[in-house]
This record gives sequence, C-alpha cells and structure tokens, in this order.
Amino acid sequence: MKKTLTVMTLLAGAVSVYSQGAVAMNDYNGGSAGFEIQVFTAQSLLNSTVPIVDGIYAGFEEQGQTSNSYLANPGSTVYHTGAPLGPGYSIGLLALDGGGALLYSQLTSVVTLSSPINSWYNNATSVTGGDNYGIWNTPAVATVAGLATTASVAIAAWQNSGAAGAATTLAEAQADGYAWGLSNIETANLATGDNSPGYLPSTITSFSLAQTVPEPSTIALGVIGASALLFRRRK
Amino acid sequence: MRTKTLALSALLGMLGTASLVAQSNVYSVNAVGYINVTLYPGYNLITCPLIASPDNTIATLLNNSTGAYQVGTGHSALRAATFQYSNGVPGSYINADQANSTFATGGWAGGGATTINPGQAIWFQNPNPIGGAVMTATFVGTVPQNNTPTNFQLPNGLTNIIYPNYNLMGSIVPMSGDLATNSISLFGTNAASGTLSLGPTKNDVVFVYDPTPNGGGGQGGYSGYQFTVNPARTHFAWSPDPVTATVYEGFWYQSTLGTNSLGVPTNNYWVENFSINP
Repeated sequence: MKKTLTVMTLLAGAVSVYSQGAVAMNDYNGGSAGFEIQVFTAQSLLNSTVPIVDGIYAGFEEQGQTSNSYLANPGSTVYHTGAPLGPGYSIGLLALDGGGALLYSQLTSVVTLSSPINSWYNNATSVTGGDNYGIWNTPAVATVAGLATTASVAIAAWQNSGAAGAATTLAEAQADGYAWGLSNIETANLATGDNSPGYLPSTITSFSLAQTVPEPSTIALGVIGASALLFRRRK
Repeated sequence: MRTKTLALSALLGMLGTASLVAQSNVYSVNAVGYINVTLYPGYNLITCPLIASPDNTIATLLNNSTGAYQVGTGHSALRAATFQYSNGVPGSYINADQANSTFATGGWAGGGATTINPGQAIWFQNPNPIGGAVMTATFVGTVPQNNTPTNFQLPNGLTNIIYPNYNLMGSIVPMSGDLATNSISLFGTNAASGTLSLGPTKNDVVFVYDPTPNGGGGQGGYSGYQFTVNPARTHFAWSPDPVTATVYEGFWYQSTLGTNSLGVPTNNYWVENFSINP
C-alpha cells in the first residue's frame, strides 16, 4: 500500500511537470522573426482611449501597432507623448490556461518567470537611438500552470519601486499606487513536455501604462496610521 | 428638524407633483427635484440620488449630444471618461466609457450605458487640466422614498447593500452634510436600529474624494473617515466626525466584515428612511 502511494505520488509529480505550458517572454530578437513590441509610460488623455479595468483598479491607456519600429508610436495613427519604459519598470505575464478570457479579471497572475524581467534595451546596448526603447532585454520563460496547450495571455508592466518600497508583482504595484498597464488579451500557444517554448502571440500590440483612477487602498493604511497617532496624542 | 433640513436642502427647493389634489389630507405621491452638478477638472466621484426618466444612464444624465463633455472636436478632442464599479465579492470595475466626438447615442463611445442609479457612484473624469474649466450637469428626477416601487433602479428600496471590502456608493436619498448621523440614515452607530441595519463595524473606512483644486487631485484628494473607538474609549464613532459629502458626491466604503463560519461573505446594510408625506 505504501509502495503504491509512493509510485502514485511520483507519477502525479511527473504529470504536473509535463503538463505545465511554457512561453518565451523575449521581446525583440535582433530584428529576426518573433515577438516585438514597445511599452510606454502613460500617454496623454487625448491618446489614452482604451479602457483597462482590473478589479478595483481602472484607467485608460493607449494600445496599437503590432511590431515596434524603435521609438515609433505605440499607436499607428497618433503620436505618443510619454517616454518608452526603461530601468525602474518590470514586465510580467497574466494568463488563463485553456484560453477564452475576455476580461483581465479572468486572468491569474500566478505565472512563474524563469527570471524577473526588469532590464531594458537602451543606448548602452545594441539598438541605436534614444535612451530607452520600451523593449525589455530579459530572455525569460514564463510557465503557465495547467494542462492545456493554449492560454489567454496579457502582458503586464509596472513601476517596480517607489515610496512604498519594491513591487515585484503587478498586484503589489497596484496596491502601492504605482504606475501600471496591460496589453490586449490574446491566445498563446504553450510548449509542453520537451518542446521548446514558442513566442508570445504576435497579435499583442505595443501599449502604454494607464492613466488610472485614484484608488483608495493605499490611503487606508495612512488613515489607520493617522488615527492611531491621534489617539496616542490625545491619550 | 434635522431631517427636514437635510431633505429640503437635498430637494433643492423644487418640489413638483405627479398627482396633486388641492384638498386637505390628500398628498402628492411623488416629489421631483433637480441637482446642479459641478464637475471639476480631473476625477469626480458622483452619485445621482434621483430616479431620472427614462433611465439613470450617463446617456440621459450626462448627455453629450452637444459635445458638453469634450474639449474640442474630432480626433484632437479631449474627452470626458466614466468608470462604473460593481460592488460585490470581489468588487470590480465593470464599465468604462468616453465621450464620443460623433455625438451619437448621447455622445458616448460605449453607448452611454453606464448607470448612476440612486445609491451607486461612478467616477467622472473631466479632461481639462487641473485648475481649468469645470463641466456641469443637471440631474432631474423623482426623489426616492420609502414607498418608491421596487424596480431595477432601487432593487432594495432604500437599503444599500455593503459588501465586504470596497464599495463605491452614495446615499440613495438626496442629502448633504453629515451622512452617517441623521434621522434619514441609520448608519451612525454600531447598534442595530433597523431590521437590516447592522451599523458600521470597527475599522470600517469611508473615503470621500475632494475634486476641487483644494483637494490636490490624484490620491491626495481623499479624506478618510474611520469607525473606531473614541479618545475617551467610551464608544465607537466615526473619526473624524462627521462624515460629510455634498448631495451628488459618492464615496468608497471599505467594510471590514469578512465571511461567516460557512465561508459566505457577510454583507452590511445602510438603511435610509425618507418620505415627504406624513
């Protein structure tokens, strides 16, 4: 009986390893085929026309253009006013195993990256042009839990540090009141087993961080702290 | 007297009648009122405590058919935006819309279907720069009362359900000033004073947003009110007290009630009690 249990446990472990889907998080492959987008800081209100609602957080951002052209606009017909992202910002992947998600709230942020994505192409690296390009430079692999070979995915970008400390996830950045944004939701093919991970879907477009609605969550801590202070003083 | 003051200030001096008979002891059934709304540059947290006709959508209440909620025209127009939040577990924004330069269907790109029913609040973003021109609106409609028939706009009469965690809401009945402690609202203490009213719970927080330039914009516009023990440790009260808002101002209510022993979310209730007739 004990042996059977042990064997079953090992088999279950094996299944879970081979059932996880992987996708390469590379952005810009030296001009060769692959996934290429740019991510920008928040655009002007004029250009921020795509509503982004993610739970208690909401805003408008700009999305558009399915391949970067090195400091080109994220939208194909308008001019961006914000700078491309660079150091101080991170990238993550939101996903739903099996696909079919229409809303950001249907995606889970429980996607494992082989390494944090927080380094960016700039003048010091291979691409010529301005200071930052909004193109990340970390060849990570994302692993989506589940059994399916496809997943709905969206790329998340966020400010990874500030007055409230470091933010290693989108959720932390949102709770800390930092800048954040999300790409459009598309379907990615996931590699399983021994297959090499594929690229992110080419239908994901360049996007900007959002012009966000003021959210109260970070204020809550301040209020509680202020109340405690007031109480102490009166005491 | 306080009730009258609050109610009358909320009705803003205009009471119409839907069925009026000029005889003693016969009263009008409905009261109709209007509210002039000022929408400052940046974000405004607004509510409409009136039942409008034909509905309480932004296409009706914030009609953009003449371009009132945009600055400029065509592709270069700066457009006002709205965000609708659905309270619940978990709460989430469910709708976002922007004024449309084509002026079709009330002039909203998303069709203007976002609602501002009594008890609800939404964000309105005036696209002008902070310190720039305000936008305005006039909400017209029937004042919700105890005898208002239950319909989609007042699903629970004058009871607003408060779900665990964040709720974007406003008073169902038009009133301004002290939201919590008055004879319209039964939410001033933590003693059960109605069939459904549980009262606020320790550490509940109300966030009121000041959209004026004095508010500072962004997150700095929030004023927080927490339900906590008073300095003398004799009872719980809102701190600061009172919780104040204007007649069309919505607010966040952060409820600390969680789930019961069966894992079912525990709701709270804000019960209001108002009738223009004796």
